[in-house]
Parts: sequence; C-alpha cells; structure tokens
Amino acid sequence: MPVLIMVAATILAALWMRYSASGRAIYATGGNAEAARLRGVSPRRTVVMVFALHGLFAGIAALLFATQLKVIQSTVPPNLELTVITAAVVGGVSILGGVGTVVGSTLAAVLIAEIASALVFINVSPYWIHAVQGALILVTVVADILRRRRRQVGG
Amino acid sequence: MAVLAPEVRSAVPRWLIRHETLLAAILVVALAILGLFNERFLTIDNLLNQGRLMTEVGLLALPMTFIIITGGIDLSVRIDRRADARSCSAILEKPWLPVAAGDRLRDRGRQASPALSTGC
Repeated sequence: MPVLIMVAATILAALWMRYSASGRAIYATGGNAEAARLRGVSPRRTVVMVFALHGLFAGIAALLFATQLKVIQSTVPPNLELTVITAAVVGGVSILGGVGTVVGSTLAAVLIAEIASALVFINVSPYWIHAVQGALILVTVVADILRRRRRQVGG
Repeated sequence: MAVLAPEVRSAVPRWLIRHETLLAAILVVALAILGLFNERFLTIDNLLNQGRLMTEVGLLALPMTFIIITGGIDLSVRIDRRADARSCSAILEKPWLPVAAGDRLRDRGRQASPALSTGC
C-alpha cells in the first residue's frame, strides 16, 4: 500500500511538473529567479508553495509510518534529511537549481534503499552506509559540475 | 527549462532521459548482482519489505526535488516528519479532541524548540 501511494505520488508530481504552469514556474524560479519574475512568475510565491508541498508530503510519509509501526520515535530515522537530499541529488537534480526530474529522484531513492539493505546482505557493516552515501553525492555533484562546464564550453 | 534557449532546450530532455535510464539500469544491475549473491534477496517478502522501507525516503524526495530545483534546500525534513507523526499519534489516541492533540504537540515541541529554530 505505501508503495502504491509512492508510485501514484511520483506519477502525479511528474505530470504536474511537466505540464502545469505552476510546475513550470518551479523550473523557471530555479533557473533564473529574476527572469522568472520578469515573465510574470512570482518567485516568492513559488518557493512558499514548494515548502508547503514539502510539509504535505512529510505529513503523508509520517502518517504512513505512524500507522504502520504504531510507535512514534522521534529519533527513528537518523540523518533522514541527508538521505533525502542524497536521493534528490543522485536523481539528477542540480544542487544549483533549475534542473532535475521527479522520476529521477524517486529512482535514486529506490536505489539508495537498495544499497542500504544490500550492505547487510553482502555482509558489510551497516556503518558504511554513510560513506557510501557521501561517495554517491560526491560523484554526482562532480559529474554535474563537469557536465555544466562542458555545456558552457560547447554553447 | 522554460528559460533556456531553444537549441539548448532540444538537447536537455534527451540528457534527462539518459540520466534516468542510467539510474534504472544501475538499479536493475544491482538487483541482479544481489540476486546472484544471495538467493534470499530476490524473494517476494524481501522486496515487499524493502518497498515499505523506501517509501518514506521516496515520498520525501519528491518535494525535496521541487525545493532543490527552486535553488533552495530544506533541512527540516526530520523535524517535520517527527511533528507530523506525533500529532498523528495524538489524534489517533484522542480523535474527538484535536485541540488536546495540539496541546500535546506543543508541549512536546517545546523540548525540541532549539532544533525547530534551526529548521527552515
């Protein structure tokens, strides 16, 4: 059931970002806030909307987990924000803004969860997970910067 | 992407498709290798369990995508989730009293207030 909700949310969000005006406004704000403002997009409203959406999704996730475990532990996901940012960055979202898709970050989230459990399966200490996450971020950010530099040279 | 020049725009979607295809390929390869490594990995039970575990990160990665695309970053994920889970549990306990739930949340939130102030 939670997986179905995740898949549905991903598809909805991908369609929303690609086809709706407010979804495109997110890309516009990230690409160039001043240009977006001149084109009639309110960057501040977009940012507030995005953070509000974030709260909504955190609520959905919390609801799913509260009902599943029947226990609320305030410390249960340590470094959750790092994991989530890793997922987004590995999924092709540029940390500088303006580039990225929802499908990519969902795939990356699946991949990270996969790696986390894979470490246990191949008898590596789970403490290595942070090292693996850090390496993933490093590789992706370096690749992003190299790609940007090449595009600047090419363009 | 709406702000990019036309010639760049025609190149960008192809690159995006490639990035996601690459991720999917890595995922499939990782699954296959793990399946070879350990015969208990590719069982229905294990995959379902993993699906349950990855949902949280997956759901939170969606809005984080939006936020990073707008050029920001949100470090309050954990606090959000904690507060939501607590209010959820409080409401589940006393569904007839959302006001009481709010009070409980506020009381508990006071302990976490230094963390909240470092949020967004």
